[in-house]
Amino acid sequence: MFEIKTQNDVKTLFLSGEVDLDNSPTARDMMLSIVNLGQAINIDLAAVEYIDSSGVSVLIEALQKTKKDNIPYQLVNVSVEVMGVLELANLDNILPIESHATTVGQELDELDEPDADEVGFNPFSSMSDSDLTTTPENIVKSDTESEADNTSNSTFKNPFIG
Amino acid sequence: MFIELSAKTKNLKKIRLFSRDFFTDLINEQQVNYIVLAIDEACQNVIRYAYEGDSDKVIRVEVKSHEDEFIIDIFDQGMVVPLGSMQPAKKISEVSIGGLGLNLINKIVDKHEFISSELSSFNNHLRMIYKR
Repeated sequence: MFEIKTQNDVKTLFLSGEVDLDNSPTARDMMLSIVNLGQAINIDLAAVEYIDSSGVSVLIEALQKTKKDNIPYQLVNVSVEVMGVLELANLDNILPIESHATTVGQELDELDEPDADEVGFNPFSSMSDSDLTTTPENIVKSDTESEADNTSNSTFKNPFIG
Repeated sequence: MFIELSAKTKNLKKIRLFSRDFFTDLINEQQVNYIVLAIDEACQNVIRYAYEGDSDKVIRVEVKSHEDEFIIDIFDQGMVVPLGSMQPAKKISEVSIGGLGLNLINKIVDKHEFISSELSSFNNHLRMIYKR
């Protein structure tokens, strides 16, 4: 399921699961719904387990359109799986990648406890409650599950662990 | 081993699952995911170009393991493609969005070409070879 959430006037398109020829048109439509209005866009790829050329094409098209109209655009939380494909396609230096994981370990590091010498450190102290909530009117959802989702559901393994 | 499915985009996931199940335990995870991507891209091309969209026509994917290589055969019933064709762009800057899939295939597999189909019910036979 793909979602659009708004935070601080920036719309973020959250892609998830497997982005392929079956559901990439939906991702494209959602991307265009933001970009065609001239709005800043982030595409969050943290939950993307697989992406093919049709999915990557959505990311490229977003770049082309946002560059043309000088709209801010970033890819955020790019998963290891997606980074692998972008690197294979030599697009990792072309697409505006703001943040990405390099290994599963790095993704887990984000959950680490703060350093012991940072007395009284609260990792959430800089975040207000509004940062953590999303009002229903700010969420646009699209159910892109296909019939194939009801078949065998093997876990997608991280391809970049040796 | 083989799988035959109607050429619908929703079936690409089944083809990926089939492929992943075959190659897992034969090679490492990164290689498995690259091969799955190559197969997915080849099947996408069948749906997009050979069949011009979702179709009830069939895609057949065969996978074989040999001592030093894997052979992946993709069969389709679309218009006959000239043998040996499928030349990707040499630079990523030359690649249009539509050519990205072919470029990925070219990077992943060691060899790919259209050869004469030995299956009478299929017009086209794409063979991809991935060396261990």
